[in-house]
Amino acid sequence: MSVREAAAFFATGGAVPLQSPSYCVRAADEELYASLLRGEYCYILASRQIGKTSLTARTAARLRDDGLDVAYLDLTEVGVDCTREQWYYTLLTRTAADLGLRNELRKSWTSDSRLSLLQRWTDGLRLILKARPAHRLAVFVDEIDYVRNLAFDTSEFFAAMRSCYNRRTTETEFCRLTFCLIGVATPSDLIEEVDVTPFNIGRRIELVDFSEEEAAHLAHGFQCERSIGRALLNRALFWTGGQPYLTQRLCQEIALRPGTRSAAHVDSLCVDLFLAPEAQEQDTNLTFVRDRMLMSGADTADLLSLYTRVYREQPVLTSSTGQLIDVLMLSGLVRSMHGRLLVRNRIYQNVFDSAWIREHMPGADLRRQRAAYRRGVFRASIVVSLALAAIGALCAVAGLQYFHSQEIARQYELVRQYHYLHEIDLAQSGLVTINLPSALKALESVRPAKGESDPRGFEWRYLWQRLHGESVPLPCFDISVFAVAVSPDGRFVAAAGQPKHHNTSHIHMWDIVTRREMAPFAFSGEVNGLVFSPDGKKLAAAGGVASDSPQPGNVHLWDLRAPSNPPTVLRAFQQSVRSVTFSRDSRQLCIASDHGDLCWWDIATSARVNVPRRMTSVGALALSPDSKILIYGGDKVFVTYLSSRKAVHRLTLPYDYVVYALQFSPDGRLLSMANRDGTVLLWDVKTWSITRTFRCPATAFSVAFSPDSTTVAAACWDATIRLWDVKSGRELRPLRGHFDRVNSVAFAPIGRTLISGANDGTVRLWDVDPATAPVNAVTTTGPVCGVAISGSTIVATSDGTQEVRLWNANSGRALGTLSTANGTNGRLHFGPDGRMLVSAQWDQWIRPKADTFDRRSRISVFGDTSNSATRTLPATMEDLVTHSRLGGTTEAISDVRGAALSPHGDILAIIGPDREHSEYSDGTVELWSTATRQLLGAIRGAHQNDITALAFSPDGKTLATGGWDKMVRLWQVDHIHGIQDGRGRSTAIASQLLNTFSAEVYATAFTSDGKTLAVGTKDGRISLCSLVTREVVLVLSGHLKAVTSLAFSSDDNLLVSGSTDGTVRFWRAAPFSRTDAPERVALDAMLKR
Amino acid sequence: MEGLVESGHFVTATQLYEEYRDYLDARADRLTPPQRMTILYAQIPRKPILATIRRHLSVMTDEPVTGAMSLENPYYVERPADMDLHAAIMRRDSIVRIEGSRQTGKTSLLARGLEYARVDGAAVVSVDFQMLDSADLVSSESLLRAMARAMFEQLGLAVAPGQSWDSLLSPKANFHSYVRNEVVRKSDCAVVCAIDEVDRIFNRDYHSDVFGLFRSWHNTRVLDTLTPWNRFTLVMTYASEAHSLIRNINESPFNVGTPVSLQDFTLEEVDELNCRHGRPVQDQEELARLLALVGGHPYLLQRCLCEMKAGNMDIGGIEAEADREVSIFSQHLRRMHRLVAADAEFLEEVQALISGLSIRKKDHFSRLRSAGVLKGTSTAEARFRCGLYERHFTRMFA
Repeated sequence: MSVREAAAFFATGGAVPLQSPSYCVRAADEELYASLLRGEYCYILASRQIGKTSLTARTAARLRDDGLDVAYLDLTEVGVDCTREQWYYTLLTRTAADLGLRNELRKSWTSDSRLSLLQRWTDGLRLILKARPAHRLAVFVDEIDYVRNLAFDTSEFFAAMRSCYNRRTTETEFCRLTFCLIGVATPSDLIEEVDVTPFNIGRRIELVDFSEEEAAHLAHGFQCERSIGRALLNRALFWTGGQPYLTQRLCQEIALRPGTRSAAHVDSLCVDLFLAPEAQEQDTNLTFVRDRMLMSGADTADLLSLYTRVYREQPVLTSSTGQLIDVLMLSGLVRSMHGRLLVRNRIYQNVFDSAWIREHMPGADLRRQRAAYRRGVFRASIVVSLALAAIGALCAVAGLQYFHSQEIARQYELVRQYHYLHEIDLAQSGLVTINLPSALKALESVRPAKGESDPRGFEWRYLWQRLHGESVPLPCFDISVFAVAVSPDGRFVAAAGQPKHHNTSHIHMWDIVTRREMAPFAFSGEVNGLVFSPDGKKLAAAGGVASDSPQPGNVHLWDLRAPSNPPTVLRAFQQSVRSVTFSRDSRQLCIASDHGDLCWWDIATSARVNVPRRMTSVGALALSPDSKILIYGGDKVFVTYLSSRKAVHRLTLPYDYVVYALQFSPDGRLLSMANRDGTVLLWDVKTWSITRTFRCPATAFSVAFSPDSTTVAAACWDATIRLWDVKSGRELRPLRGHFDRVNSVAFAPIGRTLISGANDGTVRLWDVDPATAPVNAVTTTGPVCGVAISGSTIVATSDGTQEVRLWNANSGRALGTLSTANGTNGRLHFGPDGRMLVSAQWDQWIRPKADTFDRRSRISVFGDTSNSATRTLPATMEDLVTHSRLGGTTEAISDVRGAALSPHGDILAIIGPDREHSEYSDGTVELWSTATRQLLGAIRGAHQNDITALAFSPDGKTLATGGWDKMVRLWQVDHIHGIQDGRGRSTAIASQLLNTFSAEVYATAFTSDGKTLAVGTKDGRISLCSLVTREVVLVLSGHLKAVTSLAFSSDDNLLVSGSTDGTVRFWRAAPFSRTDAPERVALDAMLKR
Repeated sequence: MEGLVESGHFVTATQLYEEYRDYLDARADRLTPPQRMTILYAQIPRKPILATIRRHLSVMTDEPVTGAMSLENPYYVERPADMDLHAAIMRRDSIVRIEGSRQTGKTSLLARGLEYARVDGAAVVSVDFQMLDSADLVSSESLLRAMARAMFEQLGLAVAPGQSWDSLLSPKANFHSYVRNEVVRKSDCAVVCAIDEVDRIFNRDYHSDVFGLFRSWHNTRVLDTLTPWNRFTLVMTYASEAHSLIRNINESPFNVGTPVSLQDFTLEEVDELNCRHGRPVQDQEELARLLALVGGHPYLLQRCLCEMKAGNMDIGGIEAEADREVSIFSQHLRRMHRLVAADAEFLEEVQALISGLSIRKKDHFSRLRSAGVLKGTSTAEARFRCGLYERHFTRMFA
């Protein structure tokens, strides 16, 4: 047999030829034959390409051999472009095609044209039956759904068939007549009246996919050894699930390629034929299923939602009536198994996956289709809010019905979850597009009201942290913050800013500790300078309106002891006031205008002390802490010694220098100067020489000294705050978190708190202690294959060498290394008490005591006694530590690929190879009891390829497995102790599909609140998947290569990820305590406290 | 020659005779072929197919061709599709579908396939839907009657369609029994029926009805090994972009039968074509420039090579032509332009592609690809089929 002939063995496209050896006889064959032989009416209504026509053709041939008259009517041959009379007459002549009755039929048909068509049709049938006495007649009507294309109603046709059946009692001829209807339709599609339908008297023949036995002879087509052929066929069936067309097609391809000898080859053929994007477009069966789903006439959103439930293995009962289920069944995409719907086979599961569903979910169903959110953000919000309102209304209506209300509450929760997903999406896109207010708004909008459950999880706090950097924000949305100031006692922060398109600025004040906010002050115009008086009793804001306005620049002065009183307004200049400062005794104010007019005001009298002197253009103004030196200037800078009234001293500046800010150090020894080109100069006040020059990447608009005068901070227009150590001149870590120009910085008078204000509309508080600065990533020596975290600080990594490295998660500093005897190329786990480190090869147990670790003897694990019931584990965890061998067996398993210990330490799950098909692995997970040392159960065939990730939920009830098939499944293992069969063979463990991810899954980790599962994939992404909605909530990207391991800290504030790119990344989430928004109170109340 | 006529290789016999006659005619002594041969030659049935094809083909000149290329055209380069078609006809496959985008040589291929069938001893019927009257296309009845008439005339049948048509039966049933009883059953050799430009009826609402009939013939063959339909082969050509408009695949014959898909020329084939034109493209560098402009597009290549051969322009001139409003390409480009501009969604996708984005919908991509506008294997890799299109669309839509 040549390759071509071998391929011809199989039949693809259209019906299977009668002689074809590849025809698989199914149970339905015998059922149909026997039923028709008994004279029963039969019908086969099923999806395309599952062998209906082949089955009927064979049955027809068998009946013909038994001496029956057989008529085979293909309705597509009759056509739709014809009159009603032509149609019925054509059917009749076709029925008698080979009986030579053409003239008789024509005569009978035309003899009495007054009779109804159906009457004449029935008469014609009677004539045929009488002309062939003692012959039975079986009429097959194929493509029965074609009647729906006809211009006239055909329910009478079905009624007539039924009346032929009813005539059996009165006219014996009709006992010899039987019909078999074949098509892709539901009975209700064809005829609606229940009374006259032939479908409830006929027998429905169910066509199910090939079983292994039924398909067994297909292996003959492969031309290879029986054992190999069987293995290839089994793999083919693994993919196709016995779907006739897919099976024939895949087998044909195998036969065409004589080199196909292993299951892996079959897999790659399957990819080429069906799974590759181009193949998906071309394969007729896949296009058919797709068309049937998307162009069924049913509501596509509803249909896809139903399919989503099936796809996710949520229970959908076959018995639940409904047109949608029929449409779904007829598409061939699903099959029914024990009364539940399942995706028909693994090919469909891969092709029609969640990405496909998302892509085709119509825009109307925005609640589910999250991809559309970005395009139709506002519409989506409206839909969600409407849904919320509707359900709220429903809640009110059904408030009394307890059961009902529970259901509504459940739905309400679900809607809230989708709303939450949507807002997280918005926040993400806000971050990406640097639309900070919208991102913040999205995050803030999902804060739960009192009494509501909190939908927020790690992802929310992570985004919050991303938005706020390491800082704590004091938000004043929509306002660009121009100036910030801290009160001398360090208790209050004030910030001035101007809302967009407003002439009035707002000045906000907060309690620095409680972050409570007072109602804002108003300032007509733009604020340029904001300052507290040294005694803390007054707040001065200086500024003015735009230069084309007649209103002069002015200074507002509020008395903080009576904040509700209107401010004292000093109308100082014809130009905008640029800068303002208090004298040390808080009695006088020094004010400088844009044009360099400089004057002193007495606060008590609100009167000018001296006549303004025009010196130079003034950008900034500063008074030394001892009030002895006044320094001011713009492109020129002048120093005035106030006490001695000494002549003005001019500083020699570098060329083209424009000063934007001046600031004395608190010890009075240094002066810092911020400049348009981003250089920050430090001057020695005694000698007036430049001691340090620092550079910012963009304009520096404001400078500040820390209270101990050791650190200088500059507000930079590249949205960062730059810090330098004065002594060493070293630049410290820049502070990132603002999203727009930083306009102003100020240090609190005590501690190391920095306050900043920026164009992005936020005021932020920063802790600038370099010792506490957290790191985001550390680099190790090689690809990281395991990470584990103890508490929230100690992180262990393994990188395939013989060493496990320990890190401090906050500082990123290496704490040391632990050596193992034979390498740790796998995962790491800290024991349940956080003190025991388990390496994936299970050869090393390490018990950390503070920062020191003592090493224990090596343990070889799990002897493989090939499925013997005596495989045992040591009695307790302590035993594991001290025993050198397990259960009396010596053979070490080298191919344990991963393991996880349940949080209570009672179940140990290990990934092992599938020993029956060791050539390829469907992935097996064995569950062992650590107490009884018994194998509790095994999960087999859960994934199409290797299982690569394993994790227990924090409550120990769920086990998550991830595999190379890109899927993550959840297994209910809480009742596992009850169902022990000793051999782990048939233990049923309920599973559900969580989701399908972008690439092969390498790592999984649960958050300890049990709300989220982090999934690390081969493409370097970490997907955070909600366990409630099963949607991917957030994707963290940063790793360049596969993410091999993940671990959450015990407080969920830190996610550690290890990757083959050799880095360990720390993803930080803000603790809930930090994220609470400040509340707003009156300043009076604030001051009283 | 006698042997050839007896074995039914009429065309070869005709060719043989004509060559001999011309040879003798060219000699100084002006001999004529023997009388026996002349009689035989007169007796060879002239199948109308030749006339159909000839009518369709432009006369062989150095002028670039816009329609199909005649059988004698030396510039016809054989592609793998030729082998596929010959093999399918030899196997007597029930349905053979020749598909390719416009101006890729479908009709030329069909002509050669039919010639092969004739040589192979088959009776050949050819219906060009493009040649049918609009009255013939009004309903399935008129179309099927026109086809039956064509069979009657071309095969010289005994019974005219009008005689066997029964007004009580549906048109499809009538056509079915006519083809079955008068054409297939009464013929002792294989019957090859060719339908050119079948896409002409794709926009008619009865098209799926008619195609359903073809499909049922195919099924009958599969299920009944002794059926006379085994001798009947249907060859159809259609532009692939039109095919993708057909939604109901269940009633169409487009998922059964043997597909013969026409691809753009490969590098070797372009080389071959260049050789046959006498190497107007002289070196690899010029060839690369030409390929960058028109890729392997059969019509555009022929066109360029003809221009270059005639000395009208060199490669630089052709490149300059690409940016002109009125050029040797304008007729072709107008057609592509209409195709894209007529569909707002297509237009959007093409504009996206121009501005460096990727195609949004798989469906649009595969339709644009089958229309010959784009190439590539996935939406991410989508590119214009050739540089000429890219330039044109960028100029028009950017």
